[in-house]
Amino acid sequence: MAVTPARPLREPFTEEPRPARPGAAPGDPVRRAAGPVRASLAVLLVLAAPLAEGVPHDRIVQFGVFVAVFWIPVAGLVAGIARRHPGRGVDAAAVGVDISLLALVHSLVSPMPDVVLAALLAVVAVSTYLAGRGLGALAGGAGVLVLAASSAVGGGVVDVGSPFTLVVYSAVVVIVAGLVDAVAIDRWHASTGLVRLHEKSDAILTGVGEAVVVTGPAGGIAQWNRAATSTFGCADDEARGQACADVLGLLHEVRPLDCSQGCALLALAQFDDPGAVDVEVWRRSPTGTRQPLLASVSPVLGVDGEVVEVVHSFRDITRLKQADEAKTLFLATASHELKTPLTVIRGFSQMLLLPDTVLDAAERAAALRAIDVRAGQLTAIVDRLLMSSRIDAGRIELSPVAVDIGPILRERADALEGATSRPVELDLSVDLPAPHCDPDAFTTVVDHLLDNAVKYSPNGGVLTVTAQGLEFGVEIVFADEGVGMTAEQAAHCFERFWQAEATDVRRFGGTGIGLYIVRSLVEGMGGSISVVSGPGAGSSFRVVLRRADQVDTDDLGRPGDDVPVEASRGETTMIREYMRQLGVPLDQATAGGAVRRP
Amino acid sequence: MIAPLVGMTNLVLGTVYACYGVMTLVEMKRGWRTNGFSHFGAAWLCMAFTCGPHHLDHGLHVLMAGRVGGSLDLLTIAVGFPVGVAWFLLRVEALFGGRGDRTIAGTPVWLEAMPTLAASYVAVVAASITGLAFGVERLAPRAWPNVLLVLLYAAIGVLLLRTQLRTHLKSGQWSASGLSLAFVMLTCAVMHAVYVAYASAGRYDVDGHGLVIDTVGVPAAAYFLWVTWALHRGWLRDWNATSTLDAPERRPELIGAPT
Repeated sequence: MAVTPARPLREPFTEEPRPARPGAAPGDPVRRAAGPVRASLAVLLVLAAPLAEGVPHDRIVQFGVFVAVFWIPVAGLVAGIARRHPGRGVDAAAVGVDISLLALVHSLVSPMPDVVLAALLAVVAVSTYLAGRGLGALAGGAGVLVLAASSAVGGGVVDVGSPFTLVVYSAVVVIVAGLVDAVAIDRWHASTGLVRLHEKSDAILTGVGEAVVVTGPAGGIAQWNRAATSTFGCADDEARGQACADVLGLLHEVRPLDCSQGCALLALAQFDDPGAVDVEVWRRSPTGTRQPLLASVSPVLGVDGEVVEVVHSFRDITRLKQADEAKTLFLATASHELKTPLTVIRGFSQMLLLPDTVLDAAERAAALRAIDVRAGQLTAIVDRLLMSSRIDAGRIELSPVAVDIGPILRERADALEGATSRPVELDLSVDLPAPHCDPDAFTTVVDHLLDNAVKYSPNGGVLTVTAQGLEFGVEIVFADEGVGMTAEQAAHCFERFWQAEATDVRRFGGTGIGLYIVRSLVEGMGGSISVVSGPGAGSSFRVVLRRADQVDTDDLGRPGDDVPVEASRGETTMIREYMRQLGVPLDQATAGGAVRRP
Repeated sequence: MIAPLVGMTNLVLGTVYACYGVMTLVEMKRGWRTNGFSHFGAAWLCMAFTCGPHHLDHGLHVLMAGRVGGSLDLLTIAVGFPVGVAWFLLRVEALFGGRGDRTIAGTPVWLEAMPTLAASYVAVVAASITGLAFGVERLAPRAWPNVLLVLLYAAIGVLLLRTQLRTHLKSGQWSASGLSLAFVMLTCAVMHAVYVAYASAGRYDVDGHGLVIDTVGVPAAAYFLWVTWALHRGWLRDWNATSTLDAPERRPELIGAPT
């Protein structure tokens, strides 16, 4: 296999440049923001000055005129220049505008309280700090403290009564700020860049779905992501520093991987299976089951070409394997299920076609009935397969309305009794509310569950169907006294292609898609289904559908809307969406098919 | 001129909050059957139905009871108003099935300038409040709920800003809705600080209704802070968790004891 080495170590990582916005000036964002920041700051300063208590009305009018005819055009000009031609010269010009503004404000508001002056200097200090000029902020802060002290002792420490003094204060701030400007901005960029890079790589490693394990040259685990924790059942702090072979316990075919001579997986990938990208290995999970993994491995080379680290990634393919096995089993069982009626049909049809066969009318009719019955069974199997494939493709059509399910349950129970001679006890509450469901889909659900109950109770026993209204729904329970299921069987019985008896000795027929169809239809109608069962104790399937009188018209959507089969779980609501916007982590709804409203 | 503006904007803000409370109520009712109780929704209800009445009460006192709305009051309302309206419109859009959000790619210049602008704004207001408070010997007892509200709203605003920053670092994008709420919270904190200053300086009269509303607002804000914090820390599972969303009611255990 061709192993692609990762980039050599000590090569500096570079953050990808951000795409430039149309019209944006190149260069750092702080400089680009400098002009608009100062312009906005200036407007705020001018607006803030009249807030000092006691300023007469005519002064406020003067400020308004000043802002309109002088400051907004100047600040806008500076902002435009700074945006298109970022540089220290433009910064200096903008600072000059700031100082002149301070002086003008001061001269217009006279006498100005110390507290307002302190506020103006605080504004300069904060803005310089945020622009990366730490010492400038300190100087501004010191100015504020001096003014505060001056105010506290009655104005005897520093005289800030003249515009000239204010200009000197501001100039000191700007000069000091200019001295540290380059250093501060460079440091800010370096630190934020590094932080972003680390957070980005951590986020990638944490968020990636594959288990990533990085080992050192001696095989010790150096890095271990969240997916590795769930795949191997070992926490990060427990795994780090341990020998990779001990923690992972991997096997290839039947042999454990021997990492005593270096990374066995790497050797396997390089020499054992040339041309392959991934290697299939497996391990025993803590529960003792076989856990197949698809592994890929990549060495990290040092500047001299030596392997300094090995990056392994593993994908748990247990479910893929199970699905593959289930499909294989399905093909076998479906073929068998199709073959049985076909054999009967073919046998009777051949008999009828033979020229020398002499049949009376009754025998001929019996043969034709047998063909008809088996053809009906064949149709039912094909219908199930078709419905299953439509559900799997995510498109079945449902028209949920208020349905009086009492007559449907009675009619289907009578039909079952007529066909199988198995009595069905119906217990329907008198005031049974109408559920919100599709009548055809509901009938299909009832037929499947009754058929299921008959099939898995071969020794007889009572079949019971009860229906009653709940506070938020309508509950229909189908109970039998048949063979029941183990806990594991009950946990998987709604899965597609799954059958309780997956061995060669199958007492009960079926393709393993009946309960999958039932669950899909029930959930497609906004309901839920569950089962309580025990070996030899029968099974009780509980279907809960929404009450029609409690379904909002808004919930029904518009015709043609796609409704996820899993609509009842994780649906997008305004509150849920708002949580997402506020950064609250959301559990993702299980991916599933969808039904389309007609 | 200032008083009518302050009064009218407060009435609009109060109505907006009350409308949002009703929208949240509708949403909670709609999802209650399938999703159960939502602490997040309830916290929003509490916030909306205390913030809304606060603004309505203040606006009515300014317009009809002769309360003197100060220039600082107008400034804080004017700064918070556009953000609040933007946030509310996004919520209305969400209620009617829209996105309820806008994604801001990268960090545009106006957003880069926001910290400086915000700091400048807070500095100016703080200085003015200090000026107002010079003659005040002790804080009026009726101002204490507002002091607590300042702290709580600021804490909520900072928490929301931190989460927005974290999201931005991961995705390189900003959520306009999330940012707007963070700004709303911070401007609310400033607004209540001004309220405290004016009330303590005697410019705002004694207001029994306002005192009750603001006192109730304290636990409401604390509840919202707790819910938001708990959701972020994973201590609370709400409508963000699908396991609570089984419909129509919580399912019985799939694997039960033999019947």
